[in-house]
Amino acid sequence: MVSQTRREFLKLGLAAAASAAAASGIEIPLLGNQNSNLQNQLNSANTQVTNLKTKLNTVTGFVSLNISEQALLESIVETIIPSDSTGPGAKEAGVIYFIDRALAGDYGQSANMFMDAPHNPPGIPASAGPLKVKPSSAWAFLQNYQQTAYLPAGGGGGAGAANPISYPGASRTYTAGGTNYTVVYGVTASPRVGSGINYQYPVNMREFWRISLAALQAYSNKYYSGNYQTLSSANQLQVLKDLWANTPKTQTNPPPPADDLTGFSNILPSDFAYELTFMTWAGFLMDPLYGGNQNMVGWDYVGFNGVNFGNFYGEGLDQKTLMVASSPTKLKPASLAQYQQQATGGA
Amino acid sequence: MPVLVVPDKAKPLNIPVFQSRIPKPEELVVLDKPLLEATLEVGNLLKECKAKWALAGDIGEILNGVNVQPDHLTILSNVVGCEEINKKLERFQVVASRHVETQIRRNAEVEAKPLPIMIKSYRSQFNLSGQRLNVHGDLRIKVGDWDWGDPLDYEPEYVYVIGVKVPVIPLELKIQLYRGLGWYDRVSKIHAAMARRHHKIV
Amino acid sequence: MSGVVATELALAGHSVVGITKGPYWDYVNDYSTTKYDEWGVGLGRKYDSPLPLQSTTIRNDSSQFALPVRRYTMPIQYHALGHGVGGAAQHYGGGMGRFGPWAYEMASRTASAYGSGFLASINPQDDTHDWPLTYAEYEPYYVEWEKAHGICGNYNGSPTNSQSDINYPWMSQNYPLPPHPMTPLAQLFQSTVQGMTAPNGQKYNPFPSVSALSSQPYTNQYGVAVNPCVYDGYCGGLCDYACETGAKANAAYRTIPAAIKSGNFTLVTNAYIYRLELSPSGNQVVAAHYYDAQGNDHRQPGTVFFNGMWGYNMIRLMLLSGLGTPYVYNSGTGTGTGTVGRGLTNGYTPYRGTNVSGIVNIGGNSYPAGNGSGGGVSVFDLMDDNFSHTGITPPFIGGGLFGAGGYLGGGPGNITFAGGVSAPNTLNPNGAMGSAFKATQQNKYLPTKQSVGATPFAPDLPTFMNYIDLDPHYTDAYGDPVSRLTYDWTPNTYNGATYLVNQIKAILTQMGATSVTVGATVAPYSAHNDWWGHHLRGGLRIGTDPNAGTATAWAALSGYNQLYYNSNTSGFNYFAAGEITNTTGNNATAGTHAAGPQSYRAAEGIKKYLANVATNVNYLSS
Repeated sequence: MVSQTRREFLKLGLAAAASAAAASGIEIPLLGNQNSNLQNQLNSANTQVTNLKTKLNTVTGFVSLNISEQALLESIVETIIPSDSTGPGAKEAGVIYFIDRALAGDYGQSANMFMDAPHNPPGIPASAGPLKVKPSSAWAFLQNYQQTAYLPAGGGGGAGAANPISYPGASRTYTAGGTNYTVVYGVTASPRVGSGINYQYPVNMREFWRISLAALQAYSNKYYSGNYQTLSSANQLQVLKDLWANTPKTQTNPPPPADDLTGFSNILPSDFAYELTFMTWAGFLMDPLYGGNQNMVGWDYVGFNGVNFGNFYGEGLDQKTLMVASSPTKLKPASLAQYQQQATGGA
Repeated sequence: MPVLVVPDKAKPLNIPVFQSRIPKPEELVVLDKPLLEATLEVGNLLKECKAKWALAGDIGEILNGVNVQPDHLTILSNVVGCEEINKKLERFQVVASRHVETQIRRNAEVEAKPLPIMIKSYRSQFNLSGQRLNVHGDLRIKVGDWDWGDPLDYEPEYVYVIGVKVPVIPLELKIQLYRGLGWYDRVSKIHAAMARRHHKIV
Repeated sequence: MSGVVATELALAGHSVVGITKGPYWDYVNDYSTTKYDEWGVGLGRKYDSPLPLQSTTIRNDSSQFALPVRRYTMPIQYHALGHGVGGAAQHYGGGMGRFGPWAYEMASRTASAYGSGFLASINPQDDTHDWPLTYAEYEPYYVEWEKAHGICGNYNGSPTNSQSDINYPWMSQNYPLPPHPMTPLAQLFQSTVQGMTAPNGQKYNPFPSVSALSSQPYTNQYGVAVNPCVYDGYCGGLCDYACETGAKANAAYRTIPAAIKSGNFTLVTNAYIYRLELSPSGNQVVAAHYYDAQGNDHRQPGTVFFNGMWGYNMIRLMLLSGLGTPYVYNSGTGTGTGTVGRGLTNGYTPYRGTNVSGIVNIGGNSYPAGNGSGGGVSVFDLMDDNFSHTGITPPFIGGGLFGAGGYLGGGPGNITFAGGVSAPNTLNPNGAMGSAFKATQQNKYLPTKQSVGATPFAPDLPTFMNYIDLDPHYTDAYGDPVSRLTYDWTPNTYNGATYLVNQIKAILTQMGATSVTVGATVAPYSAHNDWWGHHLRGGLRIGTDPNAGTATAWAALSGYNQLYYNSNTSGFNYFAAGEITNTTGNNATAGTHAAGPQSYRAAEGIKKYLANVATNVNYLSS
């Protein structure tokens, strides 16, 4: 809680570099070199206390992210969804808590993911040569004719042989409407960002985030001369765009060995950029039960109703009218927790 | 083709398995075929009926998703409607319309006292391939020694039975009726059906 | 699909055992208070098949290494959905619609209208065949299936609704339930096209979108009572939620209750079938083997077996059990031999292609309100052979269903896979990051205008190149190989785009849409299929030519007189309707509708078989 308090101060610019641990309470530093309006500072500080109290009533505290990750990730999510003139952002929604809980839970554990070997993560340089992959144990249980059948002729391996299949794939020429098209297939043939085959790493999500956050911070220090959270807003956004563009991949020299999963040597930065962006928006817009979208600020922003089907607060509207309307009606959103309370006869 | 060799499999661990609850037959709302066919027949024959009529009793409820098991059909109408229905269902008629007053088997429960229930109506009876149908015109109810009630009136709701639209007595009305009679078991059956229909748990 | 077979046979007095890999969901208790949960349900897919249990691998071409699906993301990988009684139909948006007569005789009618080499000129590796039955022969089975499931609609676009409408699905009986209420956009679309002439020279004949979500209280021919839709909007769309009132038609809510009530039906759930055991002679199935939730092995013998497993699993089980001849593709010759796994096709928009859109000044509520398949209106007049394809280049056959006006809030997802988290691009230079993008999300569920349009495509025709087989590298939790899909777009789908786009453009203009824009054309093969959340079909096609199809006309596997099958994937040459969708697309799951009659054929075939033998039937579901 102390460091949380400290960050609030840092954001509002009230505290200078205060290295001593402030136990609690509000520091009201005297800004030594100008006509500081003490009353204004007091007012701001009082507002801060109120905000803090509100925040302490909701979900705070971390179960998975360590201290350096907390500071870093908080900056990242606030870059992706800033608090601005249009409305609240990742901070107010508590996006970082959503991500923290997710990393501690099924998402981080990759509980509902298929994690078997062999793994073929993208981005292994072509100079590494074709990757030889051993067939799985299932191979032995197939009859010979099935083994023959399951290896494409000419696709590597040959009939009947339990040979490895190498990639990247060959090229193929098609004719359509009289025109020849030559297509070179990569292993993943440009998977849509986020599609189910996009993640091919041998580590679970928590590990993926741990490695990637550290790599991002290292990249920020090496190429932007400081920790991410200290960069200017413009540079913070640029670092993320660099990830999307896979820029860090070209900037490790010399590249680490292929099976070393540190840094962005074997993790595509754009894969992490996707994960960051996706989870930030999820933290903004998923049900508050999961730690984000606190006070439903995210739903309020996008105009989503949650579980309010038109009469949750006694508005007297119903789905059959709302669904055939030709102009929108904004509903005050309701959360799953509220819905469950109501459904089971609670408050 | 030779049978595939089946490897010695390890039991899988940590794969989420949802508890499965197979419903018991008595929980399922399924109408018996003979009655269903009789309902269809009636629905088709009464399609052009000008008078107000509706399926009542248990059949009216099960078509609205209530978990009851009718063993005959009931129609509620008015006296004029009965004449029209008699004509349309002529070939199935077994008892001509006449004014009847009877006590029904089940008593009302009012302030923990059982009271007999009398009904009177202009009633005719039909037999559709072994399925009984009672048609009541201007049905009135008397509980204990209270006055006779007015003829039951209603605005029908509509349900579909394999593509035939049929009117039924609204569930709301049935609830009021059952409450008045103290038949709370029937009230909760309807509540359960309404809950299932509006995605609320009871 | 299995529900129909199980129920028909149980009601006929046979003793039936149903085995399914998922649970029997207790809809009220399981879903009522928890389903409105996009993170756990829509994205986490907690009600679906767990990936560690079984995944699938996918690739575009046989020269590639097929990568496993390692996680569920948006768009959903549909193989996740076949889990539990009701299968994938617990989840779908319920879009329905019959195939037309042309679809059943596509190969022969194309040959007679356009020449015997026409299909090969579109794709040298074409593998299109006729169905073994015509539409007219299937028609009564459609009626049964529609009654059983309570399909809502008002005919299917046939102008005269007579057999002389050879390019339209005429109907001997109307759908048993009326359609859902129409939206203002649907009304605009309807009145617009009623005044326009279609390419076949007649006026367009719009019809309400056909839906498997009941619009009224309903009782089907089995006596099962069905609740009407409550329009809570957590239905289809991007997240495919289950339905806790039972309005969404599937076996658990339409057929199985009658089977259970009959007393002749035993259901085994959370049971993972891994083999069908054959007799020593190899031409009869004698038992099904499965694991229960604790991993214990079980053997269930039977007289007749019906395989109604979802999608790839149905084919996979055949392959694992050594049933039928596995399909083998030869990339050198561009042909293949065998049948099991052959002819994989797709039934959904290739998301990149030529598109057309416009803006109409009709707003609405885009948050959950409505359902996944109602509200809209479609026209069948651009489908099938309803216009002459002579002289159109590049060449294609068939057409697409075009509709508009489905409920905006029939299944909205907050984490939209395309608009929400894309990489920096020309439209959004910072991708989904920063203030500028954030502002585009403000009040996005409260639109005052709508975009209408489509990315049209003509039918995806079968080809030797697209198929299912067993993966040599990855297994399920029990050590058996998972299914491997080899699939990419085929020329017919793209070749139809330009022509169809122009038809739609005319309609949009007539509707008064502004900013009507036709997107750039994407050349064939420049965009590969990477959207695995679509509706794959095929792999175990029906056909009487044993070289091309694997089932008899009664849905028995060729060569096995007591093994029947049907599912969403089987029996299809293709998805006959090229899918044209707008922001509220419908009809993607109409393949389910067309698969339906086949279940009744299977039930009838099984009854015929059993009339001569003993009385045990097993059916297998996913």
